[in-house]
Amino acid sequence: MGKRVGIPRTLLYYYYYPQWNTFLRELGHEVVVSAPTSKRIVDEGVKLALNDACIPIKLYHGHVVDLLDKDVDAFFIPRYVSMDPGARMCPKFLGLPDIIRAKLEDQIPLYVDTKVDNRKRKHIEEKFYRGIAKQLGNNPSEAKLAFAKSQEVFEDFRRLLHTGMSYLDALQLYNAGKDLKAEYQARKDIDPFDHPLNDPEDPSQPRRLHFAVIGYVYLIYDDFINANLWKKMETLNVSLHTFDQVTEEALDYQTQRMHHDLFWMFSNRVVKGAFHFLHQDKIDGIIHITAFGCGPDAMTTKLIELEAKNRTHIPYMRVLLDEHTGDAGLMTRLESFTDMIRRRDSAAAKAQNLKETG
Amino acid sequence: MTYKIGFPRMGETYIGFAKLVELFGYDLALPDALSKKTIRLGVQHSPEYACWPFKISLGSTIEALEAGAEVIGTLGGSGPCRAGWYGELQRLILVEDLGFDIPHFYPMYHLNDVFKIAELGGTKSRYRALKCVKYAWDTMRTAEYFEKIAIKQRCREVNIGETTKVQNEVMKMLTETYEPAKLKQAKKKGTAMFESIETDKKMKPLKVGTVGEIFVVIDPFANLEIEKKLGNLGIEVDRSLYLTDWIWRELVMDYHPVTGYFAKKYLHDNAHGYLHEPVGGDALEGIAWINLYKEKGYDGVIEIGPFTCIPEIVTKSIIPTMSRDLDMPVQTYNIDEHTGEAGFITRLEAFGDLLSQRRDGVPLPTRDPVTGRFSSADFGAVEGKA
Ligand code: SF4
Ligand code: SF4
Repeated sequence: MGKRVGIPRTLLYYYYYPQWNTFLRELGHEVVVSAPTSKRIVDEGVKLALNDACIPIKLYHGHVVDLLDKDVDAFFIPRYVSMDPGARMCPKFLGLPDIIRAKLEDQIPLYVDTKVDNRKRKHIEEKFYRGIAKQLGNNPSEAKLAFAKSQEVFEDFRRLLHTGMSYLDALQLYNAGKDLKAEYQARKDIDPFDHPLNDPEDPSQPRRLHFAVIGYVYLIYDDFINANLWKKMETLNVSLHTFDQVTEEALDYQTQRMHHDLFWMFSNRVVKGAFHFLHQDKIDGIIHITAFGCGPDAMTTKLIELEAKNRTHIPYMRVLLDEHTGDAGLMTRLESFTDMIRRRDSAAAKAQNLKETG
Repeated sequence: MTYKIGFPRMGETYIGFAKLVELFGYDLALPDALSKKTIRLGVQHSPEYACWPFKISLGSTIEALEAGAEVIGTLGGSGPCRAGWYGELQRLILVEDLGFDIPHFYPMYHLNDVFKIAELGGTKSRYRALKCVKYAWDTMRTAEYFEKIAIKQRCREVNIGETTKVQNEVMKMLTETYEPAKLKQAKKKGTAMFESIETDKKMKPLKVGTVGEIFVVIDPFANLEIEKKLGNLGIEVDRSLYLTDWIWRELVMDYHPVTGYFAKKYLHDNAHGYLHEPVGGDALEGIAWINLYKEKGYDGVIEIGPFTCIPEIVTKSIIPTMSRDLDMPVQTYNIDEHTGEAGFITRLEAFGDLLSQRRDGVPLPTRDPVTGRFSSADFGAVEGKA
């Protein structure tokens, strides 16, 4: 019997959703995703969560509340302990099912809170997904098939991101039921740093800029909490590049610049992503998005800032998001950051021209 | 040549660490006791949202360097919390931001790092090094043993302030002891000194346990002397965390020969129903100990965490439910450089009153938590001021 399974539209939704969704559907369940983040969801989250929690965790509470009146049979709140050997998730992820249970115990019919812990051995995800299936009342053989399928989809999906597509665009393709393999084939030879609007022959056109946007997936992709970053940058004629478009090998390569890995998987990836872009001279600027009340960020920020200090030719800007981040204020900052880079750009071009003609 | 070594201070544990490096053959460049200056230095040079223990230990390390340390031993971590990166990040800050030249900087991860330090100090033989470790360990445990007595007994003292005086004396005695046989004597003598303090034997004080993040639970400066203040209010205190227990459990082995239990399983079992995963830091311990304090018949629990402490956010999220289920009052604190002493004391007193009301139906006698004196309004005649 298929169940209605509710997934909060935040945190790891912005990383694993295609896999979760495929898996659950293959098992014959219906997937209900909470509404996109809104003022109401933020308010609910702030009301329910601990005052000192970081914004993303408060948001998570809000999304769970949103699912409460969607007539859901099971809440999908898996415990992600570790996906990379040697690194864990942020402690708040580890305690997430317990935190939610402490707040909403009686109101939730069924918790899907199997844990995945890859620290010691690689590839135990299958066990994790089997656990989920068990909690939902499916048998192991069904789980095995569904897992294989979901794994395949997820790999295709990630490959698509590595072509430079944003998670949100890829998600749209996925939700529309497009063939991800074909999409990959169509895009695999396009350089994400080439842009149709970018015509070096026509100087009347402003140059398309390329920024790296660094930060946790649930900040950089949540349009409400980042005040529509992607649309804003598009209007400023800037392309954004994110750490999840970088292959894991390329990220691992950056380990040499750190003394040893951080303990949290996503912080690790964010730092390495930043290092990757800082050392790759294709980027015109870096925007680092952090959350108010985020513990790990106190450290990642310092690490990134120290590295950015050594690479001053790539301007760096940090944005701290909280529940009151003003739309207007952020826009002004982004505009002046972009302007600054464009001015520098044209000054450099002039100097170049002078050299060539002079 | 003899190197000068320094390390950040944390509560009374510095006595043991100092002993260790002295025995290894170093000269000490001990930073001053933690102070406002430590905080100022730490806050000034730390990332804004770094945790409180990070700021304090950075400040203390700077003070050690100012005292002439050429070698720094510091916190390294067994993750998965920020503490694991303290050493690295502090080194980066000290070297890149502050321009210190520290050729020997050792964050402690493994026993191997201890051997490295021993070797640099001139103790080449591992056997000899281990003997030093053993001695330092015993010193540390003795210091903790004295602390345990002090926080239990302070509430009963008749002459206010005597416990603290004795505590300072015995700690000084430990600092001056260098031989195993003498250490045993010191322990005996110290115990006798505590016993000689005149106490109110009939008193049945309220009992409170403290849980939370290890640094702020252990270090009296970081926790605004919460144990002393509770004692002065007439409340017996027990602390759930001691550094040696932690080191033993996390770095040596899970089985505890003295208490005879498997610590991790024990904690897991006791946190069951509320927290099912060690999320890092001391969250699981905290949740387990709230349960244990309930079982042991304590009147209340105080949870202390640094502001923005990640694992303690998990603890704090769970506490309200747990407190309700167990019918156990739990008060939570967030501490950092902005914590004001006045507000802190008010909350502490209110908690004491609440516990007293629950048990006896009357509030606590009014005492000053800082000095321990009874307020003259109640006991004016006694003080001769009426
Ligand atoms: S990584 Fe930061 S923002 Fe994310 S859950 Fe942890 S504390 Fe919150
Ligand atoms: S447990 Fe808390 S104080 Fe300790 S490193 Fe982690 S966040 Fe910082």
